Formats: sequence, structure tokens, C-alpha cells
Amino acid sequence: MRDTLSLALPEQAAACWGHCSAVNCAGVDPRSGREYVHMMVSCLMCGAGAVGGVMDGWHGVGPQAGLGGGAAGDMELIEYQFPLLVHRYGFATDSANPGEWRGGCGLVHEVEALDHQMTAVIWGEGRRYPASSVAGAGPSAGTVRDKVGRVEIQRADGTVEHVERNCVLSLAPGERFVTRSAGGGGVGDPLVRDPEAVRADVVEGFVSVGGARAEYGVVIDDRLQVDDAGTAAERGAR
Amino acid sequence: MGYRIGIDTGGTFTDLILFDPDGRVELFKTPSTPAEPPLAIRTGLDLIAAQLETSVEDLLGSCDLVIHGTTVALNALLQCKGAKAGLLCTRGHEDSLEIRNGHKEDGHRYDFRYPPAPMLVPRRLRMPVTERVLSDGSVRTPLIEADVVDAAARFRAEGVVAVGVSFMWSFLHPEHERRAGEILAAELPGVHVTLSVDLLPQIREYTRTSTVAVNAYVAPGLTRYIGAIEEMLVGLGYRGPIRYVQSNGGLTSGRVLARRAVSALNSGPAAGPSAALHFARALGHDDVLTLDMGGTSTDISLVRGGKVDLVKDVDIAATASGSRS
Repeated sequence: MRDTLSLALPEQAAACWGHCSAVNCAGVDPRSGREYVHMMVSCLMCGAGAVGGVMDGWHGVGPQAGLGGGAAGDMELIEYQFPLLVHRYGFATDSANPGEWRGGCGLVHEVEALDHQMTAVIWGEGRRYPASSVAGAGPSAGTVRDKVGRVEIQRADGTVEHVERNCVLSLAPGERFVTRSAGGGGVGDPLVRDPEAVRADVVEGFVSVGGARAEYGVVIDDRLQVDDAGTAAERGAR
Repeated sequence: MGYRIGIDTGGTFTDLILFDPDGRVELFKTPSTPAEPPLAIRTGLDLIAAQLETSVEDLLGSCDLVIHGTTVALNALLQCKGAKAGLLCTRGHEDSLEIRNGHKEDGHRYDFRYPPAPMLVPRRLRMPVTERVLSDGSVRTPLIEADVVDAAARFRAEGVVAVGVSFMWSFLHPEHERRAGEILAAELPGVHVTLSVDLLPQIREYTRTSTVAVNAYVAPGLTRYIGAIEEMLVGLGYRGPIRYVQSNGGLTSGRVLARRAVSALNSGPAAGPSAALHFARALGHDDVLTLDMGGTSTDISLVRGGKVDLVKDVDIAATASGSRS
């Protein structure tokens, strides 16, 4: 519906937020011997959609279903309440869908089952199609995998399972799940985004040097400055 | 007993209050000078001296106590005019300051144009340090000191003047933060360092980290301000104590306040409820609604049963600032 309204009112175009893709976990807490179940709302925080003419999408807020109404929960409170160790909870570089106004970045959430056998319930959607972008924005070919929600299981033997479907899995003590939440959709042609805005995203680590070139046609040099001639050539060739 | 002087620097006016040795109270008012706040205080002291037909030097020479409330830290935060600050975080948790609680503020949930919180410390200055303490206080991964040295090099190159340190579960095992603080002090002499174990040693990673960031952001400016005020007063011959109002309504010295700058955020407004309670009690009331209307903001508080309601965690400029519970 938002896509349709954005077609009807392009000057007020607003792109889609990331969809929910998450892991719930359960088991017996070895510290207390009691069963626990935890819906990890923190997995749901994602990239927000860009709002044309106003702002880029928020990073790590969420999700589409709640529009920022949910709360991630504090990482220390999660570790206090449940036998979990949060190794990472931070923004995923290049997860935002590009546009003249880009989406927000999704999050990488890496969690270890601490000293117990964990049941992991993988649920959600949006692992195949990215959050929709409007008015000429959207991921370039070959980058969709960076934009969608993903779930991985890191096994004790070093193998990594990529989970595409909703299912229930068991994790041995010390094994980890990693969720990557979807980036937000962009608004407008990424090839007209201000090169300085792209550079700022590279400096802050929201976009990689490679991503700047592939998705925005902006060439960033070794000193993290915009290569004007290179950018003009790159954009002119598209 | 000599004179006592109270000074309240607001965004619009600077108010001075004179208590004379006989207990009489007189009020003086002068426009604030935000670019150089001591100027307005000097003007106010001139007004008092003129009224008493004496010199500022003689006035301060017979003064026992100066109490000061200031909004200089609050205004730096509200106007995004704080110091260039860096942050050291447990590796993997560098973004908690920006993720906050993954929320939009109440009342703005469906507002697509509601802007994100201003970042007091941008992502490129939030540096990861390999170390990990668990929720029972045990060390899972010892501190890698080279990470702190590397971060210090980045801060030096970027011209950072204040650094905050907030590691996971540090309040259960302060050693990692303390060692990081020692390394920073050696690598970055003159840079203001805030450790979360000193400022807010309690659970909730985001609130603690955010409070540390606020402190680092406002401390250099507040330190300069306190230095300027005290230099001026001492230069004019004042030899007594100078005390500053904290957000909880209590008083402290400039030296302590400069280290815990975050507790100066509501320095100005916090004196209002205490004063209102004082006058209400004289009239026989314990339950009071106080209203303090200034040129920049209006502050309202509830006093119930003779006690001012204190909130431990507040969001100012969409950034959490906690205080010890």
C-alpha cells in the first residue's frame, strides 16, 4: 500500500521498512535449573525506510510491524535473565537499500547458547525479497543477499548453516545463532545521491567503499575522499 | 556572618540573590551572555555592589558563600554544541549508543518525518575493545590492551578531547575499564576520560553507555566554564567556597562537578522545587505543584508529603542520562 501511495504522491514517497526475521530461544537455564523461553525482540530491529525529501531511514529500529513501537531490550538485562551471551549487536554494513535517500541499516545479532542445550525457533519472513524501495531506488544486481533478513547457525565443528525456512533447531552449548535483519528501502535513483552523503556513510561504516561504487556509482579514494573524475565516469557509464 | 550570594545562569537572564547578614533577601537580574557567561555574573555583582554603595572587591571580601546553578551543560546538549568525544566499547557493542532501545519516542511512532536522535559520538569514534565480562562477573576474555592503544591513536588523529569508556558488565569487574583509563591517560594527556564504573556503576548497558557519552560530551565545556567563573571570583578577591547545584538539588564543588558533568544537566532547574518547598513549608503546605518559568524552558515538579519526586533516568535530546539509584 505504501508503494502505491508513493506512486500517487511521489513528492511524499516513503519506502518500506525491513520485515521481521528472528530467533526465539528456550531451554533450561543451568544457573537456576528452571525452564526459560525468550522471544528475542532485539532480532526484529531493522532498517527503516527512507522518506523522500526528508531523511534517510533510521538504522536499527523497528520493525515494519511496529514502526519503532517495539523496544529491543537491554543486552545486559537479556544476559541477566537468560543463559545467553551476546557477542554482537550492531549495524550491518551495506545492508541498507540504496537510493537518493537511502534506507536504514539492519542489525547483526550474534548470540551464544551459554552452558546449555538451546532450542532455537527460527521464524519470520523477508529472507528472499528485500524491503521494497520506490521511485527508482533499490539494490543493484547481486547485492540482494546483503539486504534481506538472514539466519545462520554456527556449529561447534566450525560449520555454518544458512537457514532459509522457519523451523525449530537445537544448539549445543557454545554454539551460536546469528540473525541479520533486513535493511530499509530507499527512495529515488541512487546515482543522483549527493556523493558527499555517500562519503559520509563510508566514513561511518554504513556503506563500504565497494558498496559506494557498485550501488551509488561513487568512487571513494584511499584517503576516504570522493574521486570526482572517477565518480563522473562511473555514473556516466550507467 | 557575612553575605551569601546565589547565582542562577539561565538561557535568557542571570539572576543573583543576596542574603545579607541580617537575613534580608534581595534579587538582581541581568541579561545572560551565553557567549561568555561570566560577563553577566560580573554585571550582576556590579549591580549588587552599586546598591550597597561598595566595590565588588569589598562585597566579595565580606561574602561567606557563593552558590551557583547553571544551564551551561544542558544547553550544550540541547544545542548539540558539546565536545568532540570518543567512546570505547566492548567489541560487538559499539552501536548500542545509536540503537538506543530500538524505539521511537512516545507520540512519534507513526510520524515518518520524526528525525533520529543526534549522535553525541559518531560511529567512527565508537571504538571496539576486545574484552568480555559475563553476567556473574567472571572474565570470559581478558582485556587486549593493544585495542585501547589503537583506539587512542584514532582519537588523537581525529582531535578528540573527551573519551568515555563503557564495557559490558564493568560494574561487576571494574579492572578492565580502570586499565583502559590508565592507558588513555598515558596516550592522550589532557583528554577528559569518563569511566562508566565511576559515573554509573549499575546494570543496563545502553543507559550506562549513553550517560557516559553525555558526560564526555558536556564535561570539557563545563570544566572551562567552572574554571572561568572561579578565576573571575578569586581574581576579584573572593576567598570563600563556591558550590554548584546538581540535578538532584544537592550541592557540590566545582572539582567534583567537572568530573561528573552529567549531574549538572539540570543544575539550574533543580533548585526550583527545593526553593518552592521551602516557601510552601513556611505557609504550612507539604503537597505542592511547582512552576519555574524561564525564557528558554518551563519546569514543573510535584512535591508530595514534603518530598520532591526524583527521576533517576531521563531522556534529554533523545539521549538517556541516568543517575545512581
